[in-house]
Amino acid sequence: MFKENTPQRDRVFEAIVKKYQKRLYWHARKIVVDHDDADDVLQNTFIKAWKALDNFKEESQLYTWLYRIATNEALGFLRQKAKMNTTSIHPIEYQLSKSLEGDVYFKGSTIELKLQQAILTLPEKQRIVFNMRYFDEMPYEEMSGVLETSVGALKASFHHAAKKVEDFLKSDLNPGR
Amino acid sequence: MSKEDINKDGEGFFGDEKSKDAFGTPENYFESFSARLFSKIKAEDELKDYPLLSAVGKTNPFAVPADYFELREELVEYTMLRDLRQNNFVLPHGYFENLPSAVVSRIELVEETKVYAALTAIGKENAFVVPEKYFEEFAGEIKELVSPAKVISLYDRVLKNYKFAAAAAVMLLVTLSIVLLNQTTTIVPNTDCGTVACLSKKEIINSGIIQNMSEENIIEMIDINALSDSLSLKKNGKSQNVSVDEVSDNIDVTTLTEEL
Repeated sequence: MFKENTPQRDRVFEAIVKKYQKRLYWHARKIVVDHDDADDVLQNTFIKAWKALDNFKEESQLYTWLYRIATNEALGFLRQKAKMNTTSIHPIEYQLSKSLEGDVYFKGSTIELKLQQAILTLPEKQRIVFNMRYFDEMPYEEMSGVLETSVGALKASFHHAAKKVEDFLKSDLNPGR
Repeated sequence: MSKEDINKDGEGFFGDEKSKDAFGTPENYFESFSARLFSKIKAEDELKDYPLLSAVGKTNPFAVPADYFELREELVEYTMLRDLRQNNFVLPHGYFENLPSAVVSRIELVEETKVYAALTAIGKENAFVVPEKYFEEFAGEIKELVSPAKVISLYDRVLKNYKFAAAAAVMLLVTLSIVLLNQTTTIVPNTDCGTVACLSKKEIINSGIIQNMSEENIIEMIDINALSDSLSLKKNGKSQNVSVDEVSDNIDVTTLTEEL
């Protein structure tokens, strides 16, 4: 696509970073929760994209390709974090959920915090599908390209996730029931 | 009048080239005429059940401000002003192409989530925030990360700065000379060198560090000179000093651990 280390390649890459940084950041942030971690993921995503830019075949849309890299980076990051943390007996999602309560970069109300904590109880894949569909409002066809999963499976995954979140919120609002 | 006469008349009135030139028709007028005619008949037929609607007529009730079209004509002379009136708003690439699918997707999402009352009641406001100017500075940071490190050649580093290099060499020579001239030959035993050799055997065994270290690390940590001075191996029941070469050539973790 471009010759390495040419000014043209630099300009194109800078334009790509500026165009997609926010979308990819928020995508990663919802997976890793912490800002510094999301920053690491975003940097790694763009570094990988930079290295692979010459091999980008335009078979998929650029942002689908970038989303895929960011998703894999974020999941890899969480797995690595879980592996490194040997001091806690709780799963990484529980730790993220707790850290959110004191996070200076989270300005949500109590109910918004509960929603994020409900999302963090979901299995990894369901969590990503839920965020992409509910918050990013991504059509299933596009999501299918990013996550390399069939539309039917994604729909089922979203409904399982939404049901669990709903149940979590209801039980939290009505603890006795 | 016979059929031939009509055709003949028709040719005479419309068919000659002169008549065609004088009275032009819009492109494909005759080809599309029957379709348009049937469409009109059908539309009128559909409306016949709605007499009130048909009675209103189809005149355009919308008006424009006075002189609106005249003003546009006037602006032809003022090119700058006319350009400013042009639409300067831009849309994301493929906005209109993707709009129908985006609308359908949003409707589907509303349908999908309407059964989850507790979830939808919360809203979707983004509660996460980023540090100030994070996005403004990110592109610059990533550019720095991916740019290859600038390689400075030996010529650039040393020869181009020959004055600096010469001064540094002279300073180094003077410093070394002073240090060497002032050095005494007395060997002061090093009791606080921080290497394995300087620790007591008991300390090393109690700490258990040897067991947790790789062979390479142990060898790296050993101060060979101090070890040869302090360490003695029992050979044939007698204590004897071990030379530096003997230790370094034959060193083995198991032996060393046993000896310690």
